[in-house]
Amino acid sequence: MNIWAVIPLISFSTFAVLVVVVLQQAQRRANKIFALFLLASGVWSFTSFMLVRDPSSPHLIFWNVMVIAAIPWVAVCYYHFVRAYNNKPGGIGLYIGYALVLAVLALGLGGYIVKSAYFIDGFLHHDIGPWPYIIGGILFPFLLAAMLMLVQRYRSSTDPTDRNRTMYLIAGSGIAMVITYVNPLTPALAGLPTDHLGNLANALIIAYAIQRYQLLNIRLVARRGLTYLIAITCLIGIYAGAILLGQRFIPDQPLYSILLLASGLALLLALLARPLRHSIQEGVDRFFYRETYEYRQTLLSFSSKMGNIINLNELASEMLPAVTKALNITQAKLLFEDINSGDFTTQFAYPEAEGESSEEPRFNVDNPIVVWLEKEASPLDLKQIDSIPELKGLWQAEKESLAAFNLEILCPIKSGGGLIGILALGKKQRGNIYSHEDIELVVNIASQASILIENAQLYAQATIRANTDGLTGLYNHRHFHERLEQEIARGSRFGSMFSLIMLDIDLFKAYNDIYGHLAGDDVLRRTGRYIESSIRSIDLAFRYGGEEFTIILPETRIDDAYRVAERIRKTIESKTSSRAMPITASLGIASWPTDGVMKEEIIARADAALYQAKQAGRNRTCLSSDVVKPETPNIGTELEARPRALSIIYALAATVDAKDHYTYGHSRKVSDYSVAMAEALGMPQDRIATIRAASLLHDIGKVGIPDSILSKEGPLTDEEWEPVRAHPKLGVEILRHVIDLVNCLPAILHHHEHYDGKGYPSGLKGDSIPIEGRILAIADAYDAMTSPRPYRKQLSSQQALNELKRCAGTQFDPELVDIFCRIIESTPSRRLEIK
Amino acid sequence: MTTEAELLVQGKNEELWQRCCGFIDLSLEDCMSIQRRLLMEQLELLKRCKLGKSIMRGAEPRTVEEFRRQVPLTTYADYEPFLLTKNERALPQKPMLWQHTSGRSGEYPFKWVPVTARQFKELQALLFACLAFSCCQQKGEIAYKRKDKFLYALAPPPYTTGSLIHAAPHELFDFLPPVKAAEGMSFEDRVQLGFKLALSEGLDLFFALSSVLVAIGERFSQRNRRIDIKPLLGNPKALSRLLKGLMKSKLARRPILPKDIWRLKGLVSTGSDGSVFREKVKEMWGRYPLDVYGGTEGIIMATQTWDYQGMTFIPHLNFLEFIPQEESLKSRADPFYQPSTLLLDEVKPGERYELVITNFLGGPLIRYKLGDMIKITSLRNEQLNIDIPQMVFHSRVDDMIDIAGFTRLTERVIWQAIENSGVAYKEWTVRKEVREKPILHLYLELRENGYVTEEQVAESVHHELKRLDAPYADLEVFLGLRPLEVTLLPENAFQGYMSRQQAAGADLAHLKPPHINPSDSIIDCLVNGTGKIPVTSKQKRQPETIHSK
Repeated sequence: MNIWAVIPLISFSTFAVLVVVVLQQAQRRANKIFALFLLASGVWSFTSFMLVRDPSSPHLIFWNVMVIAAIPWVAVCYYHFVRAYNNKPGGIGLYIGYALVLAVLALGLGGYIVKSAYFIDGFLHHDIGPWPYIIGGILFPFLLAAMLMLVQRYRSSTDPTDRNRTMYLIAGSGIAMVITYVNPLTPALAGLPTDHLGNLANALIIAYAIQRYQLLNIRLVARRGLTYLIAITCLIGIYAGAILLGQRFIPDQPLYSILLLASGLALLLALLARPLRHSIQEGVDRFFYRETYEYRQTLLSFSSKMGNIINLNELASEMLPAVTKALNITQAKLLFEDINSGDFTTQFAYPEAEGESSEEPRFNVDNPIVVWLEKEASPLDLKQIDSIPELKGLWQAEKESLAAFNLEILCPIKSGGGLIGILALGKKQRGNIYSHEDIELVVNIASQASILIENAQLYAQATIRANTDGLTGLYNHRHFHERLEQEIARGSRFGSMFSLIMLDIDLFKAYNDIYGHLAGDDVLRRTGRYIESSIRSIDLAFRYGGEEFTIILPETRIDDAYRVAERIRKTIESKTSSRAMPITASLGIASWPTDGVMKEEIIARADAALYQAKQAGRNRTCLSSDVVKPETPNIGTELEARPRALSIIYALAATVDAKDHYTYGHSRKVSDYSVAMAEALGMPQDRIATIRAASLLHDIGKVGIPDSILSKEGPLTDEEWEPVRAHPKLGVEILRHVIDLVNCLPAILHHHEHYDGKGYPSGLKGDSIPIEGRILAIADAYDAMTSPRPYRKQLSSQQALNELKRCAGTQFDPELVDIFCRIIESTPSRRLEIK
Repeated sequence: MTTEAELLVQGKNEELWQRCCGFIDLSLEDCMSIQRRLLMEQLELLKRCKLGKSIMRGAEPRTVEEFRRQVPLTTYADYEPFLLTKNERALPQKPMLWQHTSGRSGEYPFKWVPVTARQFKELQALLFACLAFSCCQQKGEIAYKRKDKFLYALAPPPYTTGSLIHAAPHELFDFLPPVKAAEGMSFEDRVQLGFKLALSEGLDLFFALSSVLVAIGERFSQRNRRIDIKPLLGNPKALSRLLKGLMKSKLARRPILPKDIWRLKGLVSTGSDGSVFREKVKEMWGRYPLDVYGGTEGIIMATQTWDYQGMTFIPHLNFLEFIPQEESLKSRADPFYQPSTLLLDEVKPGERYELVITNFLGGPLIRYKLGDMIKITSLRNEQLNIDIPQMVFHSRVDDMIDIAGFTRLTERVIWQAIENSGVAYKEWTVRKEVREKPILHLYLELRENGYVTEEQVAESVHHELKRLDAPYADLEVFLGLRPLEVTLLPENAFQGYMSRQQAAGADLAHLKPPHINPSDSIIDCLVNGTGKIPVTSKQKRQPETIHSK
């Protein structure tokens, strides 16, 4: 056998396998015509093999004619395929082309083309006159037209995938054309069947484009086909080699025994090769997937290898790099539902985003993409978002933002039918596209990961719940101590530092008393949000307890922490509603290890700084270094310590007294009675000072009551009662902006509440009325009864006390009435001194 | 993104269908979700622009409910300061082009409305959808191909139908004549050249006003006896096509019709008379026209599908609100009355509504009363399993003639009655005249071969009106009232009117007199060939070039 016959033989085998796999999915027109092209190529190779196989064959002229007729057939079929690929109908050119093929065949078989054919040293010599030039000249327009169509498509297409595919077709047809035309014109190659190499290269390039770029929408064709192709080619090679070797080394043996021997050897090798099938497949896979092979294998056995992972961090750190490398993509991200907003936010990314401010993909809970992913099981190709009707509701800004993230695939991760996460994948490297296999792999991963993710999410949620403060959503007190210890341990190990901020909302108790606990809770929630929005993602915020918060700032020096603290303070201050009492906060900062190495030390130092901020007038930030030891153990009351506050109080009290000469001195007397009661109750000095101030100012709201009402002698009408009932609230309105007097507001607001809940303005009952208010109510009533009024006579002290006792339990706190009566009765002979 | 044309070239018909026609597979819930979301996006744009702030009177609604409560219903008069001056800086988004329709009596010749690039992109996709629906037999079938011959008989830009042709992919189809070449040609010349080309090149797709379809069909049958084939001797393709058509007509023993010459793949029609001429078009052209409901203000709002029944609303171009007919009447009686509206998922089958739209995708119109009365035929298309309410155009809100409070006759019903009566007419117009009793006065111009008396015409049309409109029949039964009176106009009365208008420089939209309620001067001109007619005035709003009314 002629050794050159191996080339067309291998070529024929390759085409045969490709025809079989393409025909399996030949529903589409382009696929069918591609199969026809492969068939024509196979026939060309086969006839060429038959021609070259046996130089002494008596049928050389016949096979030579067949070869010559097959060449234009291949060219016309290729032109036909390119038209179908461009979705163009056949056209008149095709009829001409196929007619030409038949004409060549007829002329050939009629003996008009090949006059003689013979082999010398394996080279074919034939007498075919000018026919190669005639056929080549006629075929050239077909090949050129096919090439031009492809170039035109490449230039007009805006779809990068389509351009990629078309480029492969251009390259393939270019190689085939060059080799087919160059081969017969090259003296060294003329007469050899090397021109098949060009056509074979074209077919293999197309097969590769099918696998890589879904050129013809045939699944797995090339890869699986190639496995069989390699196996068959090897076997044929071995078979042909065995025959050649047999002829050389045992020339005396008859041909049939050599053929038999070669067949036996090939069969034996085939049987031995069967167990090697896996290795061949692996080799092919490695060839196609190159460096991504190992990662693909990892992902395919994902669940078994990662079954023990219950931590989302760990899962993401294993999964995302493997996915990125296996698919050879730019990035991979995992998005999970945010507990608070319900939105899907990026929680893990590979490679991690650079810089603090890098924005990450986020999908609102009502985003059509989320709704679509919830409904569908397949991944969403973001190139298709304009083609999916359910996504018509996407905003332009959302589309633009999505495009900016350079993502290509969003794969839903589902459990129990619900969407629990989204695996977001970036574009393929070097402009490649996701193949069907890639998508299958992604779906497989998402499916396997869903169980692990659900477990990890449940674990994470349980952990978060255990460490989270239910009201503010910040970490809780228990977790603060844990994280502080961890931070100290980390600092000790790596020599790093951190700062601790303690924050306390100013006058929070007063706020609670005035606006109620629900409003107070809202302040705590909002404060939590402001803190979170003012710190970095690596900083940790905690609700320490009550109205106190702490913030751990890793790797932060105290002066940087001061800037953060000031930012938080200013945010809280600026967000206060103009219609409510101002909300401010005081902050204290300590730094580790400068201010102490033990947990307790650092907390105490931050706490001391916070105390210093309070003492210095609130709404400010103090460092641990600002803390000064007090000159006297007890600095007395806050209000009294500040002359500015006292002067305000006396000025305001004078205003009230000036308003109504009947009440002249009333405020001061009420103040004395109230202070006496507070002292009798053993209240601390600062609260006594607050009561004193509140008593002096309790009627400040009366500035809004017309004089005609205040001085009216008869009973008041309902309309006249309205401003009277409103005076506590008006008082609060007047005073709420004077930060030094904010503590007085609860007493002023509630000094007309009744113990049985029938008073005004809030209708509070029993102990829910601030004690300052209850004290003030008794003192106010007693002084009113014992002073002359335009609408009634002045009562004696005893009569007034009796009246108080009568109303104890309904209007007044009975215990406080007892105390007050004791105070007055124990000093019958003297009036309480007005201080 | 791959364009629709590229998808067609690449043979990705499945994706092309999904992108352009996929909205018919949406559930009503999905539609409403799209409506709400796109409205929220539009509100964001409106809040930031001068036009939005002015029309919404400073309101910043955050929900659909707030939007309907806080924003007033509008008419074109509200937009005049921005749109008539083409003040692009005041708009929610920079427009890509401006288009217009006929304006208001004597005040301004056109209503200018901008089109944004996003609207234009959706218009392109919907054009593919309409063509697909008109060509297909089943869901998913894209029956048109590259290089199909596309004839269009529509008004030129800046009329909306002109924009439609601009939106069509020029590189994909062979337009007859090519759009660029047709620029500057008159409507008549363009259509004539188109047919000349179609005779030699063939014809696959036809997009036209339905009245034009009928007029062309009639012209064919009238020329039957005097077809001159000599000019075609030099054009074998045209000659063979014509001879084939003639043979077919001879075998069928009837005059030649367009369907004998061409076998159309798709036929799309716009215009108020689609349903009136439906059967006639099929008889002439061999297939039903696909009716599309759109307009300058809302671009395309609904389209028929391949069963040629009710039209399916398009959910992603406009926010749709519906004023129930009774509410609409109340608001007409009292201009200060703010009628309540329903949403797409609240309409009821069989009910009539005045349509209110808010443009999406950066368009300028907010709660805009189109002045169209539509009828909901069903809540879904059972045959094609479409889950979106189906509609037909009923009438213009102000184009109804009320007779004795018994019936409200629309242009469509009267037209249908004239058609069904079999009277060979050229053109007509009708109005209510009150003498001792209310009179429905029909002015009709007969064809050359129409030899009937006014009484005969009145009898036939009256009979058909009774058949088509039960309340009209009751007029006779209960009131003994027979309101129809007919005046036959002299020959070429309408042509004379149009020539006068043309000579006076009237725009295309104002050439023809309105069908309903023409003014005294128009009637004077038609009857006596006299009467002074302002170029754009004394006319009610003309049917818009794309409106299917």
